[in-house]
Amino acid sequence: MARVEVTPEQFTLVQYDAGVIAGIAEELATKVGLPDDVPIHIDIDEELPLPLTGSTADVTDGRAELWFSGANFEDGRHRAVFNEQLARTDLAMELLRARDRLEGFADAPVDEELTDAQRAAWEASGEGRAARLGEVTRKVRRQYVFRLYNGFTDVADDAFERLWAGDRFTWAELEALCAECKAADPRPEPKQKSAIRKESLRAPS
Amino acid sequence: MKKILPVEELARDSRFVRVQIQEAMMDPRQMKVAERNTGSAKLEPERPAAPDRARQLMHGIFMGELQALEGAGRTTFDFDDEDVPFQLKLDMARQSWDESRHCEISVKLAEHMGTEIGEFSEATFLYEAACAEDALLRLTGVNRALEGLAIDVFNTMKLFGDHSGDPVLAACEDWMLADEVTHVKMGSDWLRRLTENDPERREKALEFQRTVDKLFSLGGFRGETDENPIQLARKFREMAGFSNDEIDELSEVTVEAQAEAEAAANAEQRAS
Repeated sequence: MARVEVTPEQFTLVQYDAGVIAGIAEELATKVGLPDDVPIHIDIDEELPLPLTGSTADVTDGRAELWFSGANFEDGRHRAVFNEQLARTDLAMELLRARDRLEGFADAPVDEELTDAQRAAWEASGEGRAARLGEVTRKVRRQYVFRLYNGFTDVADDAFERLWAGDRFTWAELEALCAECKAADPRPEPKQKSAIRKESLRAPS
Repeated sequence: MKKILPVEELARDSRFVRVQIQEAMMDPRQMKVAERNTGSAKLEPERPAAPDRARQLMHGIFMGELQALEGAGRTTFDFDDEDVPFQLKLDMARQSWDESRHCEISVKLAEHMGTEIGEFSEATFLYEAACAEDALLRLTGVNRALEGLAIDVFNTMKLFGDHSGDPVLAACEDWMLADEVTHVKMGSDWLRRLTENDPERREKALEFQRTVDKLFSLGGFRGETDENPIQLARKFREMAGFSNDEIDELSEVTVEAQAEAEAAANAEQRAS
């Protein structure tokens, strides 16, 4: 049985190839150091177009469960067309986050329960590490997402740099960084949480 | 130099890819998303995918500014002094200068948000609306309808900047918004002056504006409910010379546009 399983096997609304995505994920899983005995399931919601991006990474019963909006892999210039570079970055980032859950992030809540600030911080760390693995990344874009949820402050910018440059964080350290940012953030508490992207964007069952 | 430059001849480098707006609106995924309960469509930091929604909108604003620059520039050049008053051309030249500044600001804002020029496709319908052969239609179609849309978009982005605590975005959008109010007012003032003794011509021009307004409401993109990502900015439209009746009428047009888009989507779904 293949280590990487991609759902759906056939895409009908977008020009994506499950085999290609599985191949990229297989290669990246080795590159990011996800143990060989961890199977990977990648669920892609092809109904979601740009700009409705979102992703989650959990480990359930020893299996890495990744969910992506189809928008995450979509070429912004060509509707419904796969962009390998974007896919590689997001797959690498979420595979790194899945690996984190096996070492140092065992206490972290499942992705659906993360706050926007925690998710943004964790993804900053993931993309920074993906950059050092040689993947094409977009630091300014990631910093914008981080600022949006952790504040447009010097404290947040400093925290972002530490997250981007650091190779090893624990869940407790990440929470502490977010708390630092929150203490320096003059904005009122968010009215609601947007981080449950999967829930918010999911198709009706 | 050629007058009335066709859209195909706009200067673009290899970073830009064009798309037909109909293609985007008829994307079957849009109909699938419409079936989901994704809550308020207003652009707010709490909404799912807010960063990428804002980045894509910002890129759209940049493309709009570029085409507005090209449109105002063409209006300065396309008409001779016997066609339109020289003062009108001066106003268009001033607007071109504003739009070129807006292009530069939009590029900086896109960079601030981590967006590359050409990252998203370009729809050229704004410039196409700026190609009317009658200068009066450009005043209603571009200055009052499209620059009016710019008021709504900039106000929405400014509020997004305010809510997200982004001082750069909020300040830049506020400055550009002030210019847009002036551009719309130019359109309102010239419309009145040029049709002072010709109510029939004025009505024809206003009819063109209604058509453009409906087209640019993009099936619910703009309106006054939580279902509309871009909110109609009543206060700023009043400042730009719109009467309350005109704003109410525009509000009705946006509702009609949304209803028509929903009906088209339903018909498409039944057919598939």
